[in-house]
Amino acid sequence: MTRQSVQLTVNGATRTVEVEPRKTLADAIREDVGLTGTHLGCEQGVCGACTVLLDDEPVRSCLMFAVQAEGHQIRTIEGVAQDGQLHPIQEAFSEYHGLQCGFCTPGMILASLHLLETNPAPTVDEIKEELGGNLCRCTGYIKIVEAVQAAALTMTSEAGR
Amino acid sequence: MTATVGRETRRWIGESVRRREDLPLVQGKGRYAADLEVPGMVHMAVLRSPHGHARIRGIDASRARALPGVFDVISAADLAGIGEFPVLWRLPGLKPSGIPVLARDKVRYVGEPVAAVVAESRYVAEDALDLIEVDYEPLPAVADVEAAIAPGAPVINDAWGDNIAIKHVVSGVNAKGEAGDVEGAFAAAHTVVTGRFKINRFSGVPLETRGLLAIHDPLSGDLTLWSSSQVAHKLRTQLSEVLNFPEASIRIRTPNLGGGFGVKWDAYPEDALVCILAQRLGRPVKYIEDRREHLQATVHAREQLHELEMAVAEDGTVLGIRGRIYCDLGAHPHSVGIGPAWVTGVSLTGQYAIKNLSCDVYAIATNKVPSSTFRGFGGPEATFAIERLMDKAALALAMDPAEIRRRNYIQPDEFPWFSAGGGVFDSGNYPGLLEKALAAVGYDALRDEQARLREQGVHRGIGIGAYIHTAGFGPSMVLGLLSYYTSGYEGSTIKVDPGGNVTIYTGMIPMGQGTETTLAQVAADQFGVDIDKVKVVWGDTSQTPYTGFGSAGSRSNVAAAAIIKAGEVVKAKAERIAANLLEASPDDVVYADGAVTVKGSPDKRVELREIAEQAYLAHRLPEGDQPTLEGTYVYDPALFTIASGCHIAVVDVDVETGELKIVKYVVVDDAGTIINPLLVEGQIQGGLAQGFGGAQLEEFVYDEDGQLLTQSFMDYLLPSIHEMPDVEIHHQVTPSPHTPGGFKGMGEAGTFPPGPALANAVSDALRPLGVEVDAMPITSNAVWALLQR
Amino acid sequence: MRVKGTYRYDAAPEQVYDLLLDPTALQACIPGCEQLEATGVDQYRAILKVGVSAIRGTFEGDVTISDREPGRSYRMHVTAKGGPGSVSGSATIRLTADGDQTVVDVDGDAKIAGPAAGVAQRLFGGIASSMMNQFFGCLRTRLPSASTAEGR
Repeated sequence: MTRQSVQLTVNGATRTVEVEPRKTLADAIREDVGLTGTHLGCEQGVCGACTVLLDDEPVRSCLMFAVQAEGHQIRTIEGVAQDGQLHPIQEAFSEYHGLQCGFCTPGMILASLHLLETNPAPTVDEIKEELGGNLCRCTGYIKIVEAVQAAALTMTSEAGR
Repeated sequence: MTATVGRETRRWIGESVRRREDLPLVQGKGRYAADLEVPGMVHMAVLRSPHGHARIRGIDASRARALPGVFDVISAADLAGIGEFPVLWRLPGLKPSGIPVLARDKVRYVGEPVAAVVAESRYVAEDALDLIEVDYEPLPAVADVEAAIAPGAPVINDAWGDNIAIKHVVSGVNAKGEAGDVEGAFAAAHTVVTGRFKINRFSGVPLETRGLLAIHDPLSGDLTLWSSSQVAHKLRTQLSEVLNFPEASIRIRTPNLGGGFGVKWDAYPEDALVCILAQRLGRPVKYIEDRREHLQATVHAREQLHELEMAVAEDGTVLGIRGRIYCDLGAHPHSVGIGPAWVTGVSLTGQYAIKNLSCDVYAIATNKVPSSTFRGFGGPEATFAIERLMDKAALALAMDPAEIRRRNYIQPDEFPWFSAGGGVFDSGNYPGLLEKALAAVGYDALRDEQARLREQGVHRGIGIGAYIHTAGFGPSMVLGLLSYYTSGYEGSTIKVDPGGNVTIYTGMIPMGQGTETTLAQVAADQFGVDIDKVKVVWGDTSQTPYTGFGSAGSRSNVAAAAIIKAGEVVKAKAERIAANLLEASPDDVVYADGAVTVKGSPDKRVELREIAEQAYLAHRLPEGDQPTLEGTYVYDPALFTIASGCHIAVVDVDVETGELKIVKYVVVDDAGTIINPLLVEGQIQGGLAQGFGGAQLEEFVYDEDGQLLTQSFMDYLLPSIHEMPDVEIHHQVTPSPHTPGGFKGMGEAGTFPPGPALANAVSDALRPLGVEVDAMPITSNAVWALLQR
Repeated sequence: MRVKGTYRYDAAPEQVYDLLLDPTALQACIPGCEQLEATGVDQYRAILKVGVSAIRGTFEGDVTISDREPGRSYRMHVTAKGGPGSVSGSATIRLTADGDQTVVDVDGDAKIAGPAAGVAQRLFGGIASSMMNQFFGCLRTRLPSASTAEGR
């Protein structure tokens, strides 16, 4: 298969990669852009570990081709912390023990980020609705919900300052 | 004997210390096997059997080899001099078998490795898989234990003559050599209840699949294998045998693991394949299992069929248990042989003082992937059986299920308890667990409410699930008596550097449970230093002590004990060095809170940092002591530790649809002394999720030809955030009297009771309709079907 | 997987029988059939492009006809391999006269192995039905007369 030149804009930086048309966006992010925080748990579109934000919307990068992502803004877990400072969601996940092995965590954090960017004061049901497409095998989810609730409070109070 | 951590003030043990593991993980900076990249790396893909049972008549890989970008293709014919991975647990009578690296004459399950391709990318390697022609002659298959033992059934392992891997008799003789009297128990019974229980086939299914990267250094001849295995040293030893490669030249390094849950404990064909190919090619070979492969070829677990009877006296005292357990072993025994089924057999008496036990454990081969290690390891299966039998006995005697349990518990003053299965229970308070759970759930009020709701047509049920869990696996000598060719020790090397910082080298492999943090907590208290001064090194066989067992069997307590004991060695030396500096006798000084002082003269004090400095300068060392400050202790547990718990589930059942709703779920957990309460809660919640998953959702389904029908997450259903009910967690602490620190280990706890608690609750809810739930998963379909009968 | 179907034709059993076993008709009517080559008496090699949306592929296979009872019944065996997996199956086809019409009953079994088996099992019944309906419907158009169609 011949390769194609594709421009990918990831976490604000645009670069050109050479990929076969059949290469998934997830693989391109991991291998060609070199950001391995986006994980592959199933490549079947179910587990959500590969979640990235595409133009601020969560997508399963394992179900997209890299060539489809040209011209879009991609945000991965590596773009969540700003200037070396953890995002309140990242802080909360650690403080509330919302992660154990960390494999689902990038996808879980990005889904949570999308939620809190669009709904700053979600109910528990709304949190579950948003995160229903992200599987975790370690935590049992209870502390993930607590972490998102805590992050929501932090983000709201920081916004209020 | 009280459990202590020396004379130290506990600053860190018992604290919910935030995990040091988190910082990189929340930023996506973890390094899992799939993230590893080295120059010259090439990629392996595995051709797997599409048939449940077939003869291999020939393999033609010529077209695959010719594909541009392909470096090598191998099949069994290319494996001269390569052995099979051994079955480590070889109970007497287990028919001989091994784990082949590539199938030779026949394939025995869908997913069995048949050939391996190495190419410039995984994409090209998979293209090449499509070009390998395998001439299969499909054979009739057997996909359940009853078909496998039926007369005339096709034999899966030709050398066996039939499909029975072993019949192991649990004779009911306890560790003191006292035999029970099962015949007498049943002769004297007022009532005999029977149970035919079907436990479903499910498994750990971590979110990260298996991953490997093998690097062969032509200069030194050394082989480095990055492996997502839960047990590095034992894998190294096994690889050395399989590859015929000197063990001292193999180094196993462990990246971050995305969960393990037991399935990454076993050895697998791919572990050898990447090493073989790396040597053949002179290039690093990477293999990342994909999800479909994982569901096919990483070990399954749990599937058992029970036919049991329990003899009960009129007052509810259980007199004895007997019966048969059929374990669906899959095509052949895997690393742990029939270990889980054995554990089930010997654990059938649960928390109860039942002295008469007899059980025949059959392990039957079927055309499915082998069934092996998974969190719980046979315990959950036994818990289902005994807890369902207790409820059945309660029903038969018109007795409350809580009451019948009260009448049968091993009492707190009866420890150490010598169980009929041969176990020695160190400590526990089972009645205490029950009372706490009953209080938390508001049991009496619930029973009243249940009666009222029933009149309104609402079917509410209450189910108890109580368990014992053999943790802290286990005294090596006992493993030897059980013919288990591995060991239960855990080594710890502690080095204090000239700056007074403490480094712990552990053989444990973290798989998400926070090992680094918990062991640092133990070490920090041991030395009385700030936790930031403690570093934990893991995941490198060239640096860490040989571990008999690795991360499985809920063994943080064993690792913690090793740290305490090694710490004592180091502190004793520190005391000697300090005494010398203080010109006192070693008997007159004591190490406490990070320094050594003269007893009774607290101003005469040397800090650890000063002691360490002196240890490395060696200008003023006491006679008989060598320079440097380090110590090693390999701790072999004296006994298993027996953790325990009691769960109560309250469910509402919709009799139109069979759907159940968990109204309340209470957990009382006893793991002995707790190191980090927050992490323990995380383990319980996570274990519960897997318990609920197996109880209600998860199942590997094979059709009658051994075709696996659940090869994606669309069919093998993991619990999502929606499926996790609210749970209330309470604790009880009965420390382990024989383990330094009193810790018991609890990583598997949550998985034991959900199945039986829900089965009991649904049966209780539908009691007026005569429904008994004796199988898992408890899906709405299953309940509905029971209602139709 | 059970494979079953019943089809009616406005023709005599002998006519329908000959049509069902006519290689030209078969090549034209087997859905996705790109090639059908006789390799012996009652033996054929076929290349089919079949599937449903994502589960699509090219299958190469052997078809054997046996147990011929002209005008009454025969058996068909198929083994085919392709990217999505492999299929092997047999069916008995029975023809019964019913007034002016012939009723064709298909009763068979198919085993599927390979990738498709693990992820698309629930689609097979539908795919098999659909393919059979297409096949038997197409054969109908090759009968001299038009007819009332009925397929299950």
